[in-house]
Amino acid sequence: MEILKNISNLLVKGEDEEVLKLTSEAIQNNLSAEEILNDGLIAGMNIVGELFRKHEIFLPEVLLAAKAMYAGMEQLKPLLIKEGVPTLGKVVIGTVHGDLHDLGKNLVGIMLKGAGFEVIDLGKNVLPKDFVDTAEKEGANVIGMSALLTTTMSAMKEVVNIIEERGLKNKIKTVIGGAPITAEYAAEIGADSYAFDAGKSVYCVKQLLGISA
Amino acid sequence: MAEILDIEIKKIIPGRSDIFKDQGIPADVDIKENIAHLGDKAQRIFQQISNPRMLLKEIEKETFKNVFEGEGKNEHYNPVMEIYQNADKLSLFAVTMGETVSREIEELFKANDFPLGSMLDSVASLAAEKSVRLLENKFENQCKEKYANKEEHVALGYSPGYCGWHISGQKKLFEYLNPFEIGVKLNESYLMTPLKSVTGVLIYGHKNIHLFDAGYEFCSFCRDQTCIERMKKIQSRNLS
Repeated sequence: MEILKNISNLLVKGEDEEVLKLTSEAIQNNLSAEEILNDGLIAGMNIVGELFRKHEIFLPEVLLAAKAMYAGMEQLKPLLIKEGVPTLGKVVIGTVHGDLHDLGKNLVGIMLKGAGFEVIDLGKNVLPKDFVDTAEKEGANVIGMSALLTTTMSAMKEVVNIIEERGLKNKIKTVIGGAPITAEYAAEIGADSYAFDAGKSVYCVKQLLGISA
Repeated sequence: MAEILDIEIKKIIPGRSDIFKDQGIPADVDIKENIAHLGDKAQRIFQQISNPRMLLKEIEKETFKNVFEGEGKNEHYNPVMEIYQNADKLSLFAVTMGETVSREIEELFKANDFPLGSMLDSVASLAAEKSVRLLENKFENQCKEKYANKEEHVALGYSPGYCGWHISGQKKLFEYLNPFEIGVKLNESYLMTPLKSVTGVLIYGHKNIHLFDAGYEFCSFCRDQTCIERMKKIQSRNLS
């Protein structure tokens, strides 16, 4: 459909006002929220993700596209709830206890939402127990944790331990990232995945949930 | 005695090319108009709302030894322990870009203005780094004036959390320097607020004392190339 293609193209260009306008128009034309979301907004973000992966565009362009996506989503949100449109999955994210750096975590949230996940962002300085409590309560499939300090990254292990203690290892997967984090550290503490950067986090979460990239 | 100084914003505001490099854009890529506009806007906001300040306090080697050893968690072998012992002069320092910038970045993200929030974050981080360069130059010039002009001497800054100096060293550094005077606080995880703040020690001595082989065990996990870049810089620097 032409209007959905236009939404997708304008989103790739980061034209937030135009995306907002066309999303409203698509709603008025009685297109379903699911169509607008999947074939307009998410389709555009998928192109953006691919261009970013191939280094054809860079962070500012991705964020302009994300801003446009959020503008469209704001219009769409009431309809998505009304129509009960399913998401790819629920992900709880946060910066671990003691750490107040949240730029990386915010980028992860933006990328995941752009890919079609429901993101529950607990913010920064999040207690280990709060990650797991929220994931259990909300029925989330994945917990994503970020840390920028070597002194705070140990909180990630506490989250993994709580998941194990509660027997949730098969229900809730963990993905970790941040400047001092390595794949080796993720393996050492028993986290399920390690995301080198925000772009990689989408791939990691999809892989954990068995969703084809 | 501690010295508090305001920093002239024009001296620390990063240029366009540095901002775009920090945003991950390679130098040979043409910057689109809307991206350039974002960079300019972030620079303007930073100029309007930042409140950069710095604090300097000279410290004797013996006293610094106690600060550096901190909570006893440093890497057993690290370059800073060698460098400071061969120094002529040491000074603890703190710089901050102020609370308002961090708050503005947070607000921009909350309002879904990610591109501008991220761009302002880059500007503030780069400005904090430039402030440290400014302090290094200031301390170097002060030392050269005070203690005879040694042409091959330089001052470089080292911070807890880098080069084997454990981040828990912040605790004693804060006790001695008291950066609260310029509005910088430390939490129990040794994290500073405002976030765009840097602390550490300025080490003044012959340029050769700053040269080391980045082959320590912890170097293999470190993604930061700053030490290597600045060693190259001082090696090639015409100090006369």
